Amino acid sequence: MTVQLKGRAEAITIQWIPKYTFMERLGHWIHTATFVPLAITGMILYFPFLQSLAQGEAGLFIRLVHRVAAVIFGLLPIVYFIFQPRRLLLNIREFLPNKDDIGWLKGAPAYYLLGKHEAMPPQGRFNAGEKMNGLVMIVAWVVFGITGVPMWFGKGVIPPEVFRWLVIFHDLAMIVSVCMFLIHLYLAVAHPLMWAGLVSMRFGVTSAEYAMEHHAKWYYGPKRAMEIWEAKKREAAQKGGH
Amino acid sequence: MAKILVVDDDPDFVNLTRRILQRKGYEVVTAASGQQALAVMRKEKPDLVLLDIMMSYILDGLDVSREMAQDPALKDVPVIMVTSLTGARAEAAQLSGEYVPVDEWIHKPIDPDRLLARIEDALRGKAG
Repeated sequence: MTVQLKGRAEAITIQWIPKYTFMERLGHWIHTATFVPLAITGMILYFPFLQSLAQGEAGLFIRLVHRVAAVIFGLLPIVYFIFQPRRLLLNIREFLPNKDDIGWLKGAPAYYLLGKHEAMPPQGRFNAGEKMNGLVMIVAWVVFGITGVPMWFGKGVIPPEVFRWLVIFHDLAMIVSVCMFLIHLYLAVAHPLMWAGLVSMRFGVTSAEYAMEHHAKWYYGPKRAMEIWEAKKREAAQKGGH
Repeated sequence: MAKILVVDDDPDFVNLTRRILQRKGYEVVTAASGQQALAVMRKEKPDLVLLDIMMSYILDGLDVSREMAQDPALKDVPVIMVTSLTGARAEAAQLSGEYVPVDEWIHKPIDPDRLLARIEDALRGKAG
């Protein structure tokens, strides 16, 4: 997109677009820096074959790390809400799924494995995969909070059957969120088509070209993005017909 | 005194800009999205529009500018684009369908004196 200044020879071409605010990026990296030690220490406490590592003083240290990281992990969204309530609500709204996400998820294997992008419906600032990651992390945060606080402070007070269910839900949230985190990590740092995601989370910006192609609803607005996509589909169908 | 429409989805920016402009004696009306801006323009007939680019979506402000250019009642209203878009590069103009004409382009954060000077220039241009 180029903007012409009236009565002057030069025009302005947009190259880089702010995608994440400083607070969003700070929140993302603090979340990562607490999630990783939580996952590692959690798995040591969870998997029987690793539980030998959690004996004696090492065990006390692992529990301490888990609890310190849990406090920061738990407080992070609350602090973010205090500083930027509108932004947090906007983020949550952006994570909510819509009907185009189903088409995106159907087209995702061909895109990620074969690089075929034509079948992907236009997406907003977050694509369906990023939304899934975001929603899993939000749900996991809630479950970790509801189960983790009584597990920490309620041992011996809460009935054993209830405590057992708390542990089961805490572990399930851990398994699901760690799986999602590993997919997210692979796509962010290793997948050859996904370079722009890490750039935008490091520097806050994404290229206009990438936004046009991968986040068309965010770039052009929903109406024009759909028109462009429909035109592309017609063009592809015509090419296929000849 | 001139009437200025401030269009931005950031209420903090709108309130700050409103104070700066009102202190200088301008009448201020506001809108928080492209669609709302066009409705306010048609009703309030502002003398100048301060238009954010990224609102509901990235090109929201530019679409407003494009629509203004096609509307005989709005095409002569000066537009100052106010944006935090980064990496905007000035080039020699090569006119095409994707070009959107605007009177001025200012980056956020805004220096109040610079903003007022640009507004006066744009209004003078309109009067001339």
